[in-house]
Amino acid sequence: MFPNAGCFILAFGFASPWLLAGLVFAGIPVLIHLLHRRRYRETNWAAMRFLQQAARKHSRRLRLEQLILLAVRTLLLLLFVAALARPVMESAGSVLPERQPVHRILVVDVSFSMGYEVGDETAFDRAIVNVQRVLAESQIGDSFQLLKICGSEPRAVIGRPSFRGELILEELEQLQVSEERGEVVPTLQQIQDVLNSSVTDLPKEVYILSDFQVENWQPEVVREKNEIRQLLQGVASESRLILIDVGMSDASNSMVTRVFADDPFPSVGRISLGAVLNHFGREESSSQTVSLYIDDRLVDTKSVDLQPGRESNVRFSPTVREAGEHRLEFRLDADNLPIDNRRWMALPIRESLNVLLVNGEPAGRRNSTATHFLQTALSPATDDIQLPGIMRPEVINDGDLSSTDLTRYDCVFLCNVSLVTDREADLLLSYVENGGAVIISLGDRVNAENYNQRLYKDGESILPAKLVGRISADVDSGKVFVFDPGEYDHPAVEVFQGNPGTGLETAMTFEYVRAEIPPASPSRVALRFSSNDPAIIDRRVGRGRSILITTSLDDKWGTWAVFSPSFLPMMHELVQYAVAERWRDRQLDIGQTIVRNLPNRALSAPVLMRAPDGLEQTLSIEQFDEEQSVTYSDTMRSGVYELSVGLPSMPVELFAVNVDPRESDLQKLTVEQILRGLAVGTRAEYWTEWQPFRGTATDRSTAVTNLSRWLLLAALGLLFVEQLMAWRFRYGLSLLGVLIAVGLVQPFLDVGPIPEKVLLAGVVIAVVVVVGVALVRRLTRQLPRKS
Amino acid sequence: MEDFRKYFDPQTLSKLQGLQLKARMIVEGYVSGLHKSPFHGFSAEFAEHREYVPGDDLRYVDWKVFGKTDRHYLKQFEEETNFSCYLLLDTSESMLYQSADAPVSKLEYAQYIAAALAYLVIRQQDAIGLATFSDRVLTFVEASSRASHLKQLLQVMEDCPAEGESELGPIFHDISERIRRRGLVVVISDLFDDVESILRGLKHLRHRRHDVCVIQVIDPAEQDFPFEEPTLFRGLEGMPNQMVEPRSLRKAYQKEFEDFLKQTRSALREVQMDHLLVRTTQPLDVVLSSLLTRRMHRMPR
Repeated sequence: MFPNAGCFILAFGFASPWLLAGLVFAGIPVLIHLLHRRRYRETNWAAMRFLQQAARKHSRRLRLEQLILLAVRTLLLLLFVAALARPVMESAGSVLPERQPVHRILVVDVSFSMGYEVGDETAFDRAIVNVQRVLAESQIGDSFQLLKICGSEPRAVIGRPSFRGELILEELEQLQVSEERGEVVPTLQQIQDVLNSSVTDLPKEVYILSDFQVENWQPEVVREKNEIRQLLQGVASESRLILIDVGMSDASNSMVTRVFADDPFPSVGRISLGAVLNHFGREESSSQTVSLYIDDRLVDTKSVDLQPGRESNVRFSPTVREAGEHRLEFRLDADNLPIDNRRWMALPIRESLNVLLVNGEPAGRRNSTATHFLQTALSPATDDIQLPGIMRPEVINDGDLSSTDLTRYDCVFLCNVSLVTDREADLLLSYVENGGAVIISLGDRVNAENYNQRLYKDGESILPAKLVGRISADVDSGKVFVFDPGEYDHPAVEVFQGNPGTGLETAMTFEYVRAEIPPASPSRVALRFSSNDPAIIDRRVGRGRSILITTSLDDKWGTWAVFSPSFLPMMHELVQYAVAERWRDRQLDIGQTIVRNLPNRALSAPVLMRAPDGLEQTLSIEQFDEEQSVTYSDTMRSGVYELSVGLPSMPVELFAVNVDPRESDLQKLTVEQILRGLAVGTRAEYWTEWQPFRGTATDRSTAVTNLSRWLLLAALGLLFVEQLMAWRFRYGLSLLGVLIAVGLVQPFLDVGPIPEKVLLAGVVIAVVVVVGVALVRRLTRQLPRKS
Repeated sequence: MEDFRKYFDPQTLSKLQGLQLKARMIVEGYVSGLHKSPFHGFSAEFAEHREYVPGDDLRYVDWKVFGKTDRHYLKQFEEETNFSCYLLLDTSESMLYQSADAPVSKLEYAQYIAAALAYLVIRQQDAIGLATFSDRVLTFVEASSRASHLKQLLQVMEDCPAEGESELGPIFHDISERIRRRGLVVVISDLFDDVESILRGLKHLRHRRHDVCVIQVIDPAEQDFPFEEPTLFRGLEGMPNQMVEPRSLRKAYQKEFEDFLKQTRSALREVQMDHLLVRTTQPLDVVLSSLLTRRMHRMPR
């Protein structure tokens, strides 16, 4: 029995009442009937005896048939005009079942947290089951779009409204949990765009199936939180919004949050590694094993007790005997969400770091050059003993810079170089943008105007700040400049924190060049003078880094290089900090693009990218100006990607891709948080399971039923009836009976609404039948009878 | 001559060339097998003598008798044309009906059939007679086998007025009294009269041992009733007018008409009379072929 039967009608009206004027057309059949009675033909007739007998016997029945036919014709026009006026009935529930087609936008969260498994079922599985139920209970005429909550485009799986449920099912079968984070804001924006650009006038329903993680749906950033709220309100104002929560309450999850090497460029031998672990849940997770794999070989394991909500650090000190790039994997015991229990790192073990020192002050005596103290600091040696270290400095004169292949060096120092040509400036900019490191130190030979013109270029080139003018200390009065590291918050100086013995703060500087940093500049001050002017400024340029030291690295402008024990570690720290930028892009998040510049000689070499799943893809080399590069953006799986260029001199390069740890916190929003916080001010509905449409119809306080469809349908039926009655009255009467019976029974049958296309097809068929019947009648009348 | 030729449609007659009209029953006690016509209108078989009167053909004077008796007697021969046929043509007002799609009226069509049959019979040197009637016998022409007789018959057919009501029963009684020699009686009519009355009249003819064949001529519209718009039907033969919505009454009318046809057909079959229903749109040769074929089938082997 239909559940809504017996509800009362609250209101009845017409969307286009002016069209009701067309009701006068209902008088047309009557008029035609009367006119027909007045206008007739005359003819002689021999067989009058039979005509009179027929008329006498059937006159009453004929009159009745004519009246019924007249009534049908009149009713047909009445229904047609009434349908055009679009009558609307508003009811509590509804007397007629609500069968109007609906446009459904299905949004499925495919972030990796949806892979959390309980028993044999993941949250994603439950989402899919719910979507399948939506499809199963949908009716002909409903249309669908399928979107996904993920970290990257495209988010629309089926971007255009589709009436084919089977298409959605096919796409659902293909849909899998990704390793991405679920980014809510861009997904909601896309839903909003879909709603705004929709051309259909069908009522819309948006189903969001997610685990509703606090981290994603209620971020700590207030701006983002408000944005989500506003977007949800926008979506709910244009559609019926249903939030289906398929997440698990009290889900616990352990993960490897971060891995690191103490030394970004460790040399062969013992290296120091660390892993940060997190545990989300109510109970402690004790005796968890963390394993370290180097090049897929287990090298060490540690046991750790994980406390809820607290970070745990695990240290490893393995020994690496071979230089080159190594793949490191930190693996935590598997749990219900295993994807974040593994984390990879690509670690370069270098035998040497090649540093190019460009000497701007040639001199006969070694210690008079601008690079002498720097060279000594980078590679300390006595007359006969070379102390251990991986720095390999090489000195050239400033005139040789333009003819030197910079790609052979990890870092380039410009020391008191007086002038820089355009070509040299371009070379240096290209070198830094492609991952190189340039450290510029000043001196008395430096032409500040030339530097500003060629290397600063209003912030467009590598110089981190504009050079303003030389500042000299008043040595006579004993006032000199010393370094002020501030809070030691810059990575290059943080190692000096708590180590006053290094003498960083006691090194004296007599002269420096004041550098001016515009307010919006990305440059950062690493170290200041006591005058508060910057001493060391760094800036990221492209994929590399450039650093400006505003004083000299020799003994002319201060005592730092000569007497301060901080000079040597500072130079090492600066080189490693600057060079580390090049390696930072070897550690990527899911979905980030791998870009690698290649030397000229690699132009004709095959370039292969091997994904963690073993699939290899040949990359095409893109050439821009005089540079070559390859790009790979299909980093949708976590693991280590191997880039190999078919050149003997270029070893395989590794790129570690890891999942975003923010997705691992499975704490989800409560019902109150969703309805009173997240979706406050909306009429969003919160479900944890799919609820059939019939139930949902009664949930709504009112339902507006458009009766036009039903009236048109009735008019269509009467069109058939009229034609049949005019041809064979009994057939038409039978059809009328059947239609009335169907109309009475229909509310109790769950057959769904009739979509526009079917209705249109019905009208076309009706017209064809009407014309066909008329033709048959005419033909049968014209054909002579055989005696 | 123009008027006569229309009865002798060459196409119709050429198709009948191979057919022979056969008598079904023995008329006047003589018929055997295939009927052969004499060359000069007389049979070679001697019948009797009669006295010569001035004006008789001297070729038939029996000189042997003259030699014996000295009196002139003429040899008289048995007339081999032992077959005579009477055409009863209905010329009542109802026969004047012609619908829009029909090429001719029922009367004209009936005249065509009658003329063709007359021509056929005369051509075989058999005797043919004619009666036209409406509510009474209008003209009655005795049967004769003379070639010139055909012209007379056709003239009568053309001149007879179409008027009056059909009173078929009394007419058939009247005519059966008038026809003295047994023969074939062909009734050409729409038979729009009381079937019982018609049957009684026809039975009278049958009683007189005539072979009766009824050709019922109707207009296609009378059977199909193809009218669409409201129509005022004006009655013929004194019938009242009737205003009708044809679409709604078509089926009922057709039932009445078909019942009448069926009743007529079965009644005639009961008294062993041929009945041929023809529509005025049918080709004449088909009608005649059908008629003659039926006659041949009824002839004893």
